[in-house]
Amino acid sequence: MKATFDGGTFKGMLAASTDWLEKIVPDINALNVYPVPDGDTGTNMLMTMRASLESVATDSNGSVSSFISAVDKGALMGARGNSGVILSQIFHGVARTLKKAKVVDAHSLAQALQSAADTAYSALSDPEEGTILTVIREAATAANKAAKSCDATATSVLAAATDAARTSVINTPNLLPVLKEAGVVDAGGHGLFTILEGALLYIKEKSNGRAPELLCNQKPLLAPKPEPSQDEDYYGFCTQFMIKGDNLSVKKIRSVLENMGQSLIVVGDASLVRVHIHCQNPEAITHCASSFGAVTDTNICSMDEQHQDFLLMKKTSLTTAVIVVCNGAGLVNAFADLGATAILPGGQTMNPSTMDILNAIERVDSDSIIILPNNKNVVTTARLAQTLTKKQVCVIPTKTIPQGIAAMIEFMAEADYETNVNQMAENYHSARSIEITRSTRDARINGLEICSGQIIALLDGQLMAAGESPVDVILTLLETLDIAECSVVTIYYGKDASEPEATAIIEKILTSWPHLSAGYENGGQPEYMYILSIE
Amino acid sequence: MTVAIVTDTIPCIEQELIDEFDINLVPIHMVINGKEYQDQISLTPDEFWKLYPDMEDYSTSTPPIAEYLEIFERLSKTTRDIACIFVSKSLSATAEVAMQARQLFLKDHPDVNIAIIDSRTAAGAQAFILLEMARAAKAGKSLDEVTAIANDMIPRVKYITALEGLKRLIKIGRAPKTAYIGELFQVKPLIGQVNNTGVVENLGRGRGTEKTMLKMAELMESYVDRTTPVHITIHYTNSVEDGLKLKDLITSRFNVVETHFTPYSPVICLAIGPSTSVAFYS
Repeated sequence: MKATFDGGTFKGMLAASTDWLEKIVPDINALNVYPVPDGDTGTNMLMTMRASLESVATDSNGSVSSFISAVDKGALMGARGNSGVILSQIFHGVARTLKKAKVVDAHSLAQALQSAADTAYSALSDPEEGTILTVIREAATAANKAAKSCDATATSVLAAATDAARTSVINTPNLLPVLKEAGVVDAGGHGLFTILEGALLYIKEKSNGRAPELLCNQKPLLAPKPEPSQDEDYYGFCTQFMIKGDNLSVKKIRSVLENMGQSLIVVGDASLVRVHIHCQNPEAITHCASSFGAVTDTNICSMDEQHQDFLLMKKTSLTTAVIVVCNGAGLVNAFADLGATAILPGGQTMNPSTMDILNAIERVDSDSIIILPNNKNVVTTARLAQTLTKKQVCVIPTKTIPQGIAAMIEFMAEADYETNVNQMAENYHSARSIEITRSTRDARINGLEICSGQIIALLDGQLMAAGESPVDVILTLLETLDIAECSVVTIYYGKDASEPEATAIIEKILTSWPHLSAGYENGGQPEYMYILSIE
Repeated sequence: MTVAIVTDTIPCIEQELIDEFDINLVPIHMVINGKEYQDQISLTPDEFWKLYPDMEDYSTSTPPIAEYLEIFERLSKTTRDIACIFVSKSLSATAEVAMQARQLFLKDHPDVNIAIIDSRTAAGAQAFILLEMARAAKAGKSLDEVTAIANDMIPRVKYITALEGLKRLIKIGRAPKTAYIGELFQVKPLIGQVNNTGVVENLGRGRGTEKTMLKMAELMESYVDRTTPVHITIHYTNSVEDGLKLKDLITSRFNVVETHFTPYSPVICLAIGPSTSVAFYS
């Protein structure tokens, strides 16, 4: 047992925690309250951890204070999604306590964890129990209790915090009914536990040959865990995608892909398989995978290059620049045509980091910027980026694509910044959003019994209907709305949808509600078959 | 001997008013799928919309000098004073060609006075200037007085138009520089001339017919108080119903003392496609 941790120990713990987390990322992603293929908590936390790791790579000082300040900065700049932002605040809290430390003993480690909990809570306007917040708070409480023991060491405090985090994660469904109903634990909390566990195993030198534990009774994606990779230094492209088809064999897919890269994870069932692999040639992988079924939701990112680039649409000097986050060629074009200055690729399955957003802010040729996140997870990251620039930035908290379009329609290049902000903020709520996708697993939510592969519909982010066909669920959901008050319905069809089906949906809508104007656009979005904007 | 009034076919005023005030029209020309038409003369709005679905190749052109000369010649037989009001110079060369025609005409008719006025606007807004000039002429005002009335009206008249898209305006080079081409379903660009700049201005966008009309009314309210007496012209294209909806909305919101309701002429429909418009002054 180590009585104290020095900077080198912390550095090893951070690397080990990141590796440990990476092994369970697909499972954490799958811990979604809604069975939609958009779970990204694990990915967001991993990206944030990697950003921290990258930040400390150049730190050769060896002291805890130098290490922790590099971690703090890296996490802050690399934070993605809600979970990433909270994780960055946890690191920030630790850094505040340890900023002058050369080594860390039991007492100061407990204090740092307490500071982490306090900082994470204070970062949120409406902290919710049953989440990562509860997990860090209970871990800190346990750490403080352990630190009071006369034979306390830094290791014993970390072990107590990890144990408490584990218990806390398992208890999250008792605090948050929506988790209980979905049969899952909180994904962010689980990620934090895995990070603590990875650090503890590094200290105890017990991680070799093991895989992280999934703290969930109902494993969302039933599949054997992959063996730990023998080559963790491998770099190239982190390639993730789904295969949709009939009678898919996880075993067969794994056997075909296992020689094509490292860190292979293949999980799923006969109709939907999720693949994660590190490789040098992503195209060869997806081409090979396409022999099994339809390859969708492809997400390829360079592991050498943390920051996504963005599409700069307008290069001339502007009074007000608008940065939009969205995915899908059609939606990108729509926002560009409506006057967006820069488009950051991202959405449900790939949240841009704080650094990505900050990079876009700094590069657009304007000092007054409006950001349309178009996703609830990106709102938090965008707000964090807002605090890191000297430019005037307003985040209009659009949580869906229809809200983003509604805001963008109000934008006028010749209007002043304040007018644009007011007009866009006032009007983005006017659009209601229905998103259609397939359930990735069996679930029971909002009184709905949902089977894996079934079509499900989310109304403004809430799962409200399930059925056998997109048109059925759309009509069911529209019947619950006050359509008499609406005038325009626009359908953005995505990657796994078709124009003829979109036309058929429109005909059905117009038969039921002839007063509406209904039309479609090719959104090309990867996550949802259809996104409906109801105004 | 009264001042004769000449204009182009852009104001789109009612035939009864043309007859009542003896207004002389120089029609703008159009070439559609290789065939040339004179606006409102050889192509009516109804005929235009029948051609519209198959309209692949189209362009507009100013009236030939001969048509101006013919009108000046005819009018000079009964009057020595002619007042012309044309669509904004930045939108059409109609006024420029008229000046060349005047130069030619005056060589042979040095005793005739021809005033050529750039309305700096178009459509219903131009029509309000035209009507005030015609009323003054009919009341026996001099050419100078008619011209002064026009110059007084020019900065007061405005119009706001909702389009289906900007592609047609871009094709003919009349789109506002800052407007975006986006043609998303039911996203309606709003254009107009409200700041007396002479050029078409970008006034934002609306979503769906009803909300766009509400936005037009809100925009109008930034120039005219609800209680102030206001003169309006509603123009429509292929949907009389939409025109009527806009008319009802505007008359219910403002203290309207004069209303005109006419279809856009084919040349405007050609330039901007399906649209509704409100022109006004107070």
